[in-house]
Parts: sequence; C-alpha cells; structure tokens
Amino acid sequence: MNEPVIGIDLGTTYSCVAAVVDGSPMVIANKGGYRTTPSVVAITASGRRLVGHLAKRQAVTNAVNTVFGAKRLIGRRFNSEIVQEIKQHVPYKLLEGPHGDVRIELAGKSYSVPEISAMVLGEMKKVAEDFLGVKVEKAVVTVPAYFVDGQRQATKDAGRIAGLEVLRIINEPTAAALAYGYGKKIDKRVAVYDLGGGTFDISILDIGGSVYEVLATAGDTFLGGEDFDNRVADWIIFTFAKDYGVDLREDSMALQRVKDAAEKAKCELSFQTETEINLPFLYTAGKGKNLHFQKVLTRAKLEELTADLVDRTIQICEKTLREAGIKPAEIADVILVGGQSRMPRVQQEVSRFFGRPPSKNVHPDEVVALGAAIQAFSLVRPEKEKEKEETLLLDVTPHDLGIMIVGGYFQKLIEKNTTVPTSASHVFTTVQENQTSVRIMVFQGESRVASQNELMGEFILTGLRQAPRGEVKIEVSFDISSEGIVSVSAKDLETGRAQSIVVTATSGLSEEEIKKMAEENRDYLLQAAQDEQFEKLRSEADTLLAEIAQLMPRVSEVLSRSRFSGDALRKAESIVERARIAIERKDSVSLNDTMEGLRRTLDTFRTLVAKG
Amino acid sequence: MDFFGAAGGMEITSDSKISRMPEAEKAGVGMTPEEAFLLSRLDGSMKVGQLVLVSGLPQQKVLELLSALHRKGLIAIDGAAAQSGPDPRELEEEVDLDLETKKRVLQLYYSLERLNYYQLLGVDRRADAKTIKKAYFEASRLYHPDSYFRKNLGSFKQKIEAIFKRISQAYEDLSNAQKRELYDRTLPYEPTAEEKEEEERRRRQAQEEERLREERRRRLMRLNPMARRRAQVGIHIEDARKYQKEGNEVQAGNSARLALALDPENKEAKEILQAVEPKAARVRAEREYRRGKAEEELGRLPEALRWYRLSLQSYYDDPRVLERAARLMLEEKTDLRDAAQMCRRLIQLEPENHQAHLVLAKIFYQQNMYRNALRELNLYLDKNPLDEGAANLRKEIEKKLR
Repeated sequence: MNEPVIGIDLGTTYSCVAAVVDGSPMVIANKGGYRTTPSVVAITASGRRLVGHLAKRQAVTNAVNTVFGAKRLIGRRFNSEIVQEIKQHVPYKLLEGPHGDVRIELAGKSYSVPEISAMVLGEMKKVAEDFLGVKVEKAVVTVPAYFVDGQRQATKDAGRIAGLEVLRIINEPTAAALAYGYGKKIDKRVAVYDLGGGTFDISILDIGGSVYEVLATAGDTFLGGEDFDNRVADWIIFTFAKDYGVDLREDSMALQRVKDAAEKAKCELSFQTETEINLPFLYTAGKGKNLHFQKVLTRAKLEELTADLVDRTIQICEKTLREAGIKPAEIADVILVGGQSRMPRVQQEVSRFFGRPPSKNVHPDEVVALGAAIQAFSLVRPEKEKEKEETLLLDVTPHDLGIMIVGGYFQKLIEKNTTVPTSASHVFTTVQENQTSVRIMVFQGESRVASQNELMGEFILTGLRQAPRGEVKIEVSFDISSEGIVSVSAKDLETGRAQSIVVTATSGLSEEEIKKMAEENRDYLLQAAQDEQFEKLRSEADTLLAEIAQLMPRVSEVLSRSRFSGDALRKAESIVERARIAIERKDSVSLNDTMEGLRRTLDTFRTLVAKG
Repeated sequence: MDFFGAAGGMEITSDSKISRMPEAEKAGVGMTPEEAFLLSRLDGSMKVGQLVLVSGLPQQKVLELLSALHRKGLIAIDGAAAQSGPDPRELEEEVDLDLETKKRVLQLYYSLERLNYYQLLGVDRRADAKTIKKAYFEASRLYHPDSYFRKNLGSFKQKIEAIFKRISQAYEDLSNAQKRELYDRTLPYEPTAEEKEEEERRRRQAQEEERLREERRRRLMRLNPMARRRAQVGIHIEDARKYQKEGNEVQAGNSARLALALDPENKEAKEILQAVEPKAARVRAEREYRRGKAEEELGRLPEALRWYRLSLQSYYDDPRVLERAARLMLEEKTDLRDAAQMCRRLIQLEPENHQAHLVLAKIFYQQNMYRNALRELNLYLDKNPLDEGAANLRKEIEKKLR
C-alpha cells in the first residue's frame, strides 16, 4: 500500500471503519472485537473523553454528559425547528454558539458538534491505525445522500479536527452500491434502500463494469432506527404512566434505561415474534416504594407502532422513482442498508414495492464503510497501478441549486441529480430603475420560496450602468466540481465586470476555530496517550511494589542472618521510594527509569527468600 | 477584412474558405429556408467574401447562417479549424500526464464544437440505449476528473473538465428518448442501415452495368475500322437513349451529336437530337445565365456579358437574359445594335415591361437616334410620369431634335 487510506461510515448510532488491504476491502474491528462502534461520546467528571462502547455503557449513570446521535445536529442552526425539537428530547444541554450554530455543554465545557463528531472519527482512525500499524491521515467519510452542503462541510471540518484529511464526502447509499458491485462484472440498475439509525436514503444507480452512475437520490434526514426506538420507548412510558400515573420523562436515568430497553426489544423482534421487556426498580416513589416495568411486546404491536414510518420510506421511494422516470420493474436488484432494514416488516414492504426480494449479498451495517474504503482507495491509487477496471463513481448533486430572484422566489440553475462536474448559466436583468448593484444569494433546496431553502452564500455585484429596469443584463454562472465544490460568478454582460465566489457552506465554525479545535484535539490525544502510558506503567509498578512489600519482612529476616546485611536492603528501599515519588508526581519518565530496578529488586528478593 | 465572432469562439473571417460537407447533399436535412438558400449559393469551395457577394445577403447575416450550418455539420470552415487547433507548446506543458493522454485530450477538446453527440461518444446514430451507456461509461473513465485525482494537470484540468461536462450532457440528452428525438432533429438526416445498403446495392449495380458496357465497347473496338465505327455509333446512340430516359437532355444531345459526327446521316441520332435539343438548349441557357449572373455580381462585367451571349445563343427568348444583357451592353457601351434588338424582343415578350422602353430609349440615345429614343421614352414616361431622370432625358433629346 502506498499511503494508508480508510473509509469511515459516520453513522447516527454506530460508526464503522474499513480499508482496502491487498486489494480486498475489509472492515476493521475495534479492540473489543466489535466491527461497529457506537457513535457515542461522553466526558467524565475528571474531563476524560470516552468514545464508543465505553461511553455507551456509562450512559445510564452519566446521561447529561453523554452525547448520542450528534449527527442529527451537525451543520444545523441552533434556531432551526429541528434543533429546538431535539433540545426537548436529549438529556444533555444544547446552547447557541457564536455563529448561531449548536454547542453542547458537557462537564462544564462547551463543545461544537463537529468536535463531538471528531471524537468519533478520531476513535475510528485509531481503530484503523492499531490494526494497520501505521499512521492514517486520509479518509473518505460518508454522509446521508440528503445532507445539504452545510452538513457536508461540518462533517469535513470534523475530520480536520480529528486530524484526518477528508479526501471526499460521499453518500451512504452510493458507498453501499460501490461495495455491492466491487470486483464483480455487473451491468444493471440497482436501488439502495438505506434505513439507518437516524436517516433514510434511497438511491438509484446504473452499474456498468466498475463505473457507477447515480441516477437519482432522495431521502429524509429525520427518519431512522431511533424513531422506531422512540415509538417503543413512548409505548413503555405511556403504559407506565397509565399503570402508575408516573411520568418517566422527568427522570433522566429511568429514561435512558427505557431507551436502551426499547432498542433491545426492537432488535429482538427482528428475529422473534415476541419479547419481554423487564425493567425492575425503574422508578422509586418515596421510601421503599419501587415500581417495576414488565411487559411482553409482540412483533405485531411493534409493526403497528411504526407502520407510518415504514410507509413514509416507501412513499419517498415512489416519489424518487417517479421523478427519475424509472419504473420499479426496471430495478434489477435492491440493496438493503442500515440496521433498521433488518426489520421483517421493512423487508416485506420493500419487496412488495419493487416486486422482488432484496439482495442478501451485503452486510447492512458494514457495506457503507466498505464502499467508502473502496472510493478512497480508487482515488489515491497511483496511475501506473490503475487497472482498467478501477472503480469510478459518477456522482450527482443532491439538491437543486440556484439563486433568489425578485419576489423572494428561488430560480434553480442546476437541477438535482445532475452529474458532477457540471456548470450552467442564466441571464438575469435588473428589477429596479437605475439599479447599480445586485445581491446574488445562492440557495440549495427544492422549495420555490428561496428562504425555505438552505442559504449557501451571497455576494454583491456592483458598478452596474444606471439604466431603466430590465435593461442591464447579468449572467450568473454556477460550476460544481467533482469534489462537490460550488463556485458562482455573476457578470455584467455590458461592462464585463464580474464577481465570483467559491461557495463554502458555513459549517458554523470559522477557520480559526477549526484550527484551534484541531490543535486542542491533538493536545488532548497526546495527553491522553501519555496518561495511558503512565497508567500502564503505574499498574505494572504497583504490582511490583506490592510484591516487594510483601517479601520485605522475610528478606530483612534472611539478610539479618547474612553478612551482607544492610547494603542490599537500603538499595531496595531507595528504589521503592523513587518509584513511589514518581507515581505521586505522575512522572512517567522517572517511573520508567525505576522499573528495571524494581524488577531486579524483586528478582533478588525472590532468590533470597527461596534460598533462605 | 475584419474578424467576426461566431459560434464556439471560432473566428470566421472574410478569407475563411467554406466548403460543403457530404451531409449537405442528403435529403431531409433540417435547415431554415435562409440556410438552404445560402447553401445553394455555395459552389464547391468559396471564400466567405465571395459568398457574401453571390448571395446578396448582408455580411452579418451570412456569418450567422454559416455558424448555424457549421454547427449542423453541413459545411466545413477551413481557416477556422486551423486557428483553434492545438498549439504544439501545449503539448510541452509540464503536467502529470503522458504524451498520448495529452494528445488525446487536446485533440478532443478542440473538436468539441465540431462533433455531434454521437461522434463525441463514438457511437452509431441509431445506437440503442445500452450501447450509448457503455460508450459513456468508457469515456467517463478517460475524462472524469476523479481519474486524475490530485494530479498536477495545469491547463489540462479545465480541458478535461470541459470534455467531461460535454460528454455527460451528451449522455443525458441521448439517454432520454424525448430529448434524443429533439436533438436528432437538429442533425442532418442519417440513412438507416437498410437505406445505406440499398444505396450501396444501387451503386454496385450501376458499376456493373458500366463495366459490361465498357467490355462490349472494347470487344467491338477490336473489329475492323468500319465495324468499329458502326459499333461506336451504336454505343453513342445507346448512351443518348439512356440519358434521354433519365431526363438528362444535355447529355443525350451530346451523345447524339457524337453519333452524327461519325455517321452524319444517322436517322436515329437526328431524331433524338431533334427531340432533346430544345430542352437541352434551355438547360444550357439556364446554366450559362447563372454563370453570367454570378460573374456580374462579382463585378466582372465583360465575362458576364460573354455568358449572357452564350445563353442567348442557346435560347434567345428568355426575358431575364435579354434584359440583363441589354442593360450590360448599354452600361459597357458595346454592341448597341444587338442591345436594341434584344430590347425589342424583350418588349415583344413582355409588353408590360416599361423599364425595357427606358433601356431601349437610352440605347437609341447613345446611338444618336433621337427620334426613336424620344418615342420609346414617351412610352416609358406614360407609365412612369414621376421619373425625373427620364423627364430630364426627354428635355435633353428634345433640345437635340430642335
């Protein structure tokens, strides 16, 4: 391998990392042997960061300092309805950041959302480095197909903070298709139905040889497995309230237990038709009065609770196919991605809609990371090694792109699902008498009303000739590179005066902030590595010290009978003392220096005791 | 002359050489009447300046039409292609591409304007969706920017992107049945495979016939001189009949004349000649008239006059030719007797042609035949009393007569 590159599926609930090793894409398991890692981050009272399983395990006891599903917040504005809604449901505290972005307060410190995601990305990076045995600095990261530019940019920023150069952001369903077709000579049209932890995406692709052309893509960033969990959790809360008149939502620890139980029950119902939810001592009402929850949840009941969610995914599929002018029968294979796609009801509905059972060839939790790894590998592979069958992805713009025109309407210039790179231009005229400047506001979205779409950036073209309205002609051109970078220029056709910008969607963080956060992250990781090293040494030293202390009386006794007496003993006591001081001062360098002495002392002691 | 902007940043100057493309000869080509007219004026290969004169259209209009015709692939513009071709220095740019790739990119980049979508993707005009997709995917592999990820491409970066954008536009339009049909309408008609085959079959059959005739001719030639001569006459007559059947009277007449040259008393040849000559003369006359007109428009008047005279020799009674020839003779002050005769004939043919009276009046005036001139002028002024020039001329003549 020339330069290690990885693919990361940064999921709402779980993340996964993969790499192409010796020509085969493979998922890399973390130290615990798990192939996916919970996208959970916690800060302990002492300021330590916990990521993944460790963070998830302590969530019940430290709910206010544990972040689940940061992906739902990334790249969003604090004032948006969505964030305000989430604010009601999460145990941790959300604050407004300096740029109207979202900040999360954990253990008294405020973190930006990209910083939280960076912790997850950093963890995945570490998992890969531990396995590959080399430093990894480049990655392809996936996002839901329906993410807008701001969310993509924020995800890129998260990568930078984590010390990763994000080569490319690609869509999750697209990545899934790359993994599905890798190494096979396929020539067909496929649909990817991706129902993950937090988002739903549908993509249609044409695969020919190893070229992947995205035909259409759509989705809902607020429809995923967590919504299914919430339906079950709500059912538990409602039942509990009905039985005991107690609102569990006021007790964050109970709420966390309910959520965990709901997720577990939901997962079990994918493989069995009923399951028991048992939550003893769920609520303590006064002295010794403990309330328990114990009920059976059937698969039928779960399906009833979540029927509308499944319906919504099918409606989106229908709309996407209709807009792309493709009939379900033209789809040769359906790929299911995301944990929630395991639900039998989902599989039934998908089969019914597409008129065929979904493909069983991919692993729904791992396929996205594999695809990201394949894309990363294909991009960086040197020319001379490139085979004819190198994977090439022909990606599309996920949303309409355009500008605001008179009346606050949105005039699209590049239609969604257009293959990138692409460019387009349109001539506009002035709308006021003697108008000498025009503000170009660039939006992304599907609404006819500009303000209901995402503002990507704006600039002003000045120095227009004074003329009656409608006389001055301005040509506005859009260009999207294959990296998804949008540049917009406006040109006065008469004077040739032009203005242009590269639209960098605001992730909510300034360049300086990102740099500072990346530095802080590096410092923290360095400190954490040192701490870890010290802890390792200390635990080893503790063992040695304990054994030495245990042997000490016997050794003194033996030595007192010997003619060497005091010298050896004094030496041993001195080394033990030095080690104790090093531990007290958390000085891993000095402690390391004493280790050899401690080991020798212990050896000597053992010999003496054995002889004596 | 000045430079004019035209489609695709290509420059057309009055010195650019224009020639027809084979597509222009096919039936059913999508053209506006103006474009068709301009194309009809395009004789072989011409300079733009010439074409402006010949067509009689304003320069700007001609350039617009030429751009349109060029876009449709109906004409080739010489100077233009040469100007925008790759500069050898471009090949020397230091980038992470091998020479072959550089050449390929430059060649395609500079042909983008000229190639239609099918040529661009390298597929047949009637290729099915699957073939088009395959071609697009293969082309993408060569021109998608990701294939050159993080490479130093210099000026090639923009070119490769431009090529890919064009390719994906082509694919988008061709992979949608409706869009494809609209696009196809802008292209010249392309015969179907069957039509091409039929065409080819006909061509071969004609070749075969020609070969057989030639063979017979040679066989006959080997006979004695008298028999050879007779045989030759037979061949000419056969040819004449064939041409007559095809409606090519000029050729038929020529063959008949060849037969008569060998055998002056040949009845058959005389009959054919009699039958075809009037029509052939008309065709010849028309051709000669057109040549004369073109020469006149280019300002070469004696040359024009020569052609008009030839035309009148072939067929005397064409008012257009009579009028032009007479005017020209008057202008050149040459052969004024002939000119007067032409005018008289013209008036006979077109009694309402008052202008002819005026021309005739001027001719008489030039010959100092003032009475005749006055008579003709009065006839003209009867119908055009407001023509001051003519009125002045009358005063002049009356003075002379006094």
